[in-house]
Amino acid sequence: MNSSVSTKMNITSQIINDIYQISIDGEIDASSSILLDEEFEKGIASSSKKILVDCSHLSYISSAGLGVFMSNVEDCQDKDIKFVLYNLNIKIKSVFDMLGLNHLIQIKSNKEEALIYLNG
Amino acid sequence: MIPIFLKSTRLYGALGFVSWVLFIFLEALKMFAEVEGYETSLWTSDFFVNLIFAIFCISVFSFFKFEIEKENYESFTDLLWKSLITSAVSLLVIIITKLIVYYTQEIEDQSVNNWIKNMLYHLNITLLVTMLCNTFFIFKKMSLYLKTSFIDKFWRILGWAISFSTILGVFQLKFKDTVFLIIFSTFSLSLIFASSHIKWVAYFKYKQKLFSMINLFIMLIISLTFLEYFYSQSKSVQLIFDITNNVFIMSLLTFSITYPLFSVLVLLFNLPTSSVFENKLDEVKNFQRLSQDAQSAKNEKDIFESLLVGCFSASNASSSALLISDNGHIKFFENVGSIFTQDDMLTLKSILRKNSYKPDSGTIYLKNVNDLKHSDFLKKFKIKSLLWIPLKASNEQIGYLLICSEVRESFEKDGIEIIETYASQASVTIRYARLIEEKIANERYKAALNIAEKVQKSLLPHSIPHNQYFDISTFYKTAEEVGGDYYDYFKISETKYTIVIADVSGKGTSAAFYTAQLKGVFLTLVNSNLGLSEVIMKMNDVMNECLEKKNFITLTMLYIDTELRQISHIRAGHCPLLYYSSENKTTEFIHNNGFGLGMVKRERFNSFLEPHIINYSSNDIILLYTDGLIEGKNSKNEEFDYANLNQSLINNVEEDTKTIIKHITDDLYNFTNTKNLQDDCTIITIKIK
Repeated sequence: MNSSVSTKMNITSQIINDIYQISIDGEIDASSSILLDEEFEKGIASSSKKILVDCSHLSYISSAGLGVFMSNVEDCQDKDIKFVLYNLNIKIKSVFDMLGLNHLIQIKSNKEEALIYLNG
Repeated sequence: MIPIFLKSTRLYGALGFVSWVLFIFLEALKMFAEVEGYETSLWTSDFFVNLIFAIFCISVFSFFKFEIEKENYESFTDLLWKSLITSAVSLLVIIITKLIVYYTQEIEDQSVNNWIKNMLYHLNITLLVTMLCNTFFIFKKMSLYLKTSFIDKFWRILGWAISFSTILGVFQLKFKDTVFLIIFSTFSLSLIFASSHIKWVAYFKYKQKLFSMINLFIMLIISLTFLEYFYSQSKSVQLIFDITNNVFIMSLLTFSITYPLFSVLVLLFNLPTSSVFENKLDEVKNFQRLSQDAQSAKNEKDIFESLLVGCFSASNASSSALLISDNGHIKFFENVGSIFTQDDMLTLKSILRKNSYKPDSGTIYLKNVNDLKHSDFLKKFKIKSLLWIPLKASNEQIGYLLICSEVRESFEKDGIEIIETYASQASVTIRYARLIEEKIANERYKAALNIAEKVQKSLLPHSIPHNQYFDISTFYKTAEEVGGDYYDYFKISETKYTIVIADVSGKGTSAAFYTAQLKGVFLTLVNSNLGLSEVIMKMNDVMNECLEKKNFITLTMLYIDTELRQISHIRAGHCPLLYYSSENKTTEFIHNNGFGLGMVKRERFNSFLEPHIINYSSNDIILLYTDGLIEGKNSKNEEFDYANLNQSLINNVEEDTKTIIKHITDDLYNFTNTKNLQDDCTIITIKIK
C-alpha cells in the first residue's frame, strides 16, 4: 500500500480485485492536488482498468483539485478505464455539481453502488 | 609639556657639534699646557672641560631621543640595520685607531706619543657617545614593544635619570667612589631589567629572527670591543680624561651589551619553535580573512578557498578537498595539487557508511586508513590518515571537508579543533551569504509581483458607471498579490449592457495570466453582435486552446436589456447567481446548467449550456460572486456558505448596492474573524431602479 502525506491531506492507494483503489483523507488544495494527480497517473498506468476513489474523508477541494479530476477523467475515457467516485459529502458534491463535473464523472453515494458500476 | 623648539633635532645637532669642537680644542690646549708646564687657566680647568663634555653628551642623547622617536620605522629589522651601520662605522674607526697606535709606538718622544694617543682617544669617545646614544634609543624602542603602563613609566623615569647623570661627570667622580658605584649599579640593574623585555622576538618570522640574531651579535661584539679598548687605554695610557669614570657612558655601555646579549640568547632559543608561532599567526590571519569574507558577503567560491587554505596551513596535510551541495547542485573545490576528485569524495563517503561511520553527523578522524574495510579504493592515493568534517549551519547540511595526510596519526587534537573551528566559521559565512542572496532574490520577486498586481488591477474596469436603469457596485480582493478572479462590463448601447464575472482555477500568478487572456477574448467577442450563448461558446473554443489541461475557468455572463426589462444569463460552471425578487420578497440561487470553460470539448459544452432569463421589476437585486466569498472559513473550519450569504442579502435588500456589499463583506469578515482572505473574492451587486 502506497501513501503520500502532505500537511493537510493523506492519500493511500492499493489494488484489490484488480481495482485501483484510492482513498483521500483531508483537504485537496493547490499543493496537495499534485499528490492526487500522481496517484491518478499511477492508477492509469497500472494494469487495472478500474479506478475507485473513496471520498468519504475528503473535507475540502479547491479548484486546482477539481482540475486534477477533470483532466484525469479525459485520460480515463481515452484509455477505456472505468472511473468512479463515491461517498462525497454534500458540500463537495455541490462543488462538483456546480461545475457540471457530475455529468462527466461517475459519482456514487456508496461503495456498493460504485462496485456495481465498475463490475457491470 | 616640552616646548616644540626643545624637540628640534637640529638644535641638539648644532649644540652637540659646537660643544664637541670646544671640547676637543680645550683638551688639546690642556695637553699642550701640561707638556709645556703652563699653569691651567679657568678655560682648561677640569670643571669647565667636564661641563662642556656634559653638554656634548646631553646634546647627542637628546638628538637621538627625538630623532628615533619621531621616525616611524616599518619594522625592527630596519631599526637594527640603522644601528648596525652606526656601530660598524664606529668599529672601523677603532680598528684604524689601533693601527695608528701600533705604528706610532716607534715615536721616541713620549709626550708626543701620549698626545697622539689622547687625541685618538678623544675622537673615539665622540664616536662611542654617538653609538651608545643611538643604540640606547633603538633598544629602548624595541623593549617598549607591547609595553605595559608600568614599563612605560619605568622607561620614562630611567630616561630622565640617565640624562641627568651626565651632570655627574662635572663632579669628577672616580669609578671606585661609593656614590659612583651606587648610581652605576642602580642604573645597570634597571637596564638589565629593561633588557628582559624582548616581546618582539615572538612576532618575528624565522628569517627575521636569524637576521636579527646575527645583527645583534655583531653589535654585541662591537660594544665589547669598545669596552676592551677604553678599559685597556685607561690602564695603560696616562689619560687626561678617563671615561670609565663617567656614569652616563658606563651605564649606556652596559645596556648596549646586556640588551643584545639577552636578545641573542632569546632569539637563539626561539629559533627552533619559530615555525609553530608562524603557523599560529597564519591561523589568526586566515580566521580574520574568513570573517572579513563574511562581512563583505563575498561569493561562495572565495569563502571556500579561504577555508581550504586555512585548513591546509593549520595542519600538516598533504591535500584537502571540499564537496558542497547548493540547492541540489554539487560543487567541488580542491587545494592545489589535490589528488581527489568529486566522485572520489562521494565514493569515500559511501565507504565511511559501510564502515558504520556517520559521515553526516560529526567529525571523523581515521588515524590509519588501512584499518578501514573496503579501503582498496584509497590505496592509489597513498594517504595514511584523514579527517572528514561535515559542514553544517543551523542544521542545514552544506557540504563535507576532507583533509588527508600521507602520515599515520597525522592530526593532533588541537589541530582538529582548529580545523573544526574553520569549518564551522566557513559554514556560518556561507549560510549568511546564501541568506543575503535569497533575500535579494525575494526582493526582486516581490518587485515583479507588485508590477503584476498593478497590471492586473488595470485590467479591471475602474468603475462601473451608474445609469438611470440600475445601480451597480463591485468588490474585488485577491488573497495574494495577484489572483484568478476577473470581472468586466460592456455597454452595448444606452439600454443594453453585458456584465461578466469569472474565476480561473488555481490562484496566484498562473491564474492571473489567464485573466488577462480572458479579458482580451471577452472584449473581442462582446463587440461582435453575437448572442450571449454564442459569445460564451466561442470563448470556450478559444480558451480550450489556451488553457492547460488541468486549468479551467468558471464564468457567469449577464445580458441586461433595460427596454425589455430582462436579464439573460449564462452560468459556465460558476457559482449560482443569487436573485432577489422584490415582488415575492424571496431570494433564489439559480442553478442553470453549464460546464466551465476549458473543461470539455466543444460539442459537449455547447449542448449542455442552458441560458436563463429573468424578467425583473424595480428593486430586484442580482448578486454575482466568486467562490472566495462562500468558501471563507472560520476557526472551526466551517464555510460562510450560501446560507449566510443569502441571509446577509435578505437583511439588506432595502439598501443601495454599495451598502449591501459593505454589509456582506462585514458579515464575511465577522464570520472568518479576519480581513485576510484564503481565496480571491469578487462581488458584483446590481439593483434595478
